[in-house]
Amino acid sequence: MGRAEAKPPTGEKRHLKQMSSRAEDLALVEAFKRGEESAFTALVIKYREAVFRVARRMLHSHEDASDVAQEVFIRVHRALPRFAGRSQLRTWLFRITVNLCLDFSGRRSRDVLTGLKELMWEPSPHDNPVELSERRELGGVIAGAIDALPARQRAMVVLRVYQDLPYADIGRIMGCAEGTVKATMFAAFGKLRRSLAPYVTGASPAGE
Amino acid sequence: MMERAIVDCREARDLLLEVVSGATPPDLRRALAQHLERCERCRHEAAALEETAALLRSAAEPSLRDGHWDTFMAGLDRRLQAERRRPLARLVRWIRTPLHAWSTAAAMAALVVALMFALVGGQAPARVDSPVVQGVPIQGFMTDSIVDALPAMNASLSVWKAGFGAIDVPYDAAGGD
Repeated sequence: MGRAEAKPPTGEKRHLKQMSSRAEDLALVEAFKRGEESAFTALVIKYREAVFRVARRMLHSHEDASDVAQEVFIRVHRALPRFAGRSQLRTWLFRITVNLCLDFSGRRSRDVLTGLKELMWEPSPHDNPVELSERRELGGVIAGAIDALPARQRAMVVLRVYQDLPYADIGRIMGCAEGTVKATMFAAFGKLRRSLAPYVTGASPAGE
Repeated sequence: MMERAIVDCREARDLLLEVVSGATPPDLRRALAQHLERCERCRHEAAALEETAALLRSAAEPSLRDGHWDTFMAGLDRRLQAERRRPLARLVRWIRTPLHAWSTAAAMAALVVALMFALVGGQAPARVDSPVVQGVPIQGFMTDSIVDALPAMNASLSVWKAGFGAIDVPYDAAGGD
């Protein structure tokens, strides 16, 4: 059973899952508009992890990501009565998250990469020390490579690689055309390939 | 449904990144696979991109501290409570609720109409430009001294109307033309 669940959903299953999730979101939003505060709590529980993970990947700080994620839900709470359902709730949430992270990154000086390696790799009780040390190093390198990207490129890479969002949704979140997302992702991957070259055995970096 | 076919390497490379970096529709994957079977350069490129994407994904999600979500929810609750205590925020939220928004809009419209009636068309006294010009004394505001001065003021007005050079303007205490 565990193995079957681990398989990624096929296109049709994924679509059905998304439709059902969207219907659930709309029902919760309507309930909140009727004054049911518990519907908001249900939305927070449903999306808190995704929002927090995006913020943490972008900000590399547990505390900052927690702070930003809370702020996201405060803003959602304020604006939800006016949410008309024209866009998906998830897309809207990620848009708020990315905008807050971009604001936060802009305010924070670039040299504050406190505890970067520790932040990307926290020990699990099952790790052995040698493996843990290697993973810490690699995790730090990957985090550093992502962090070296310009903020918008970083946001797109996080949304695509770690949240598995389609280009069209990323375009809606970032407020740009799908073509711009493709071009930006291509540039970002070129930089990542150069940064991670010692760890990649493949060909020369993209775009060269 | 028509299968999509890749025609050139440029299109294939556009798709490559989309395919290796995350979920992609199956028809795109199939079309790309068909192209990769024929094109060694794109295959090479695909391998390199795939490796980079795999490396990025290998940076697994960091494990969360024990009690992380309890702390998070408690913090969020505190912030929401603080938000609710702000009277203006409460009012704004109340107004923004659609049901309340309509009643608020209706109440505001009624208030505006009432104000317009009060200022323009209501029981307010008719506006009189000048008691002298209109010849209508405003009884409530008239003192004896004002009433005494009115004929003289009326006569002065006649002079001004006719021009200071006019000689045939009668100037008597009654102030008549």
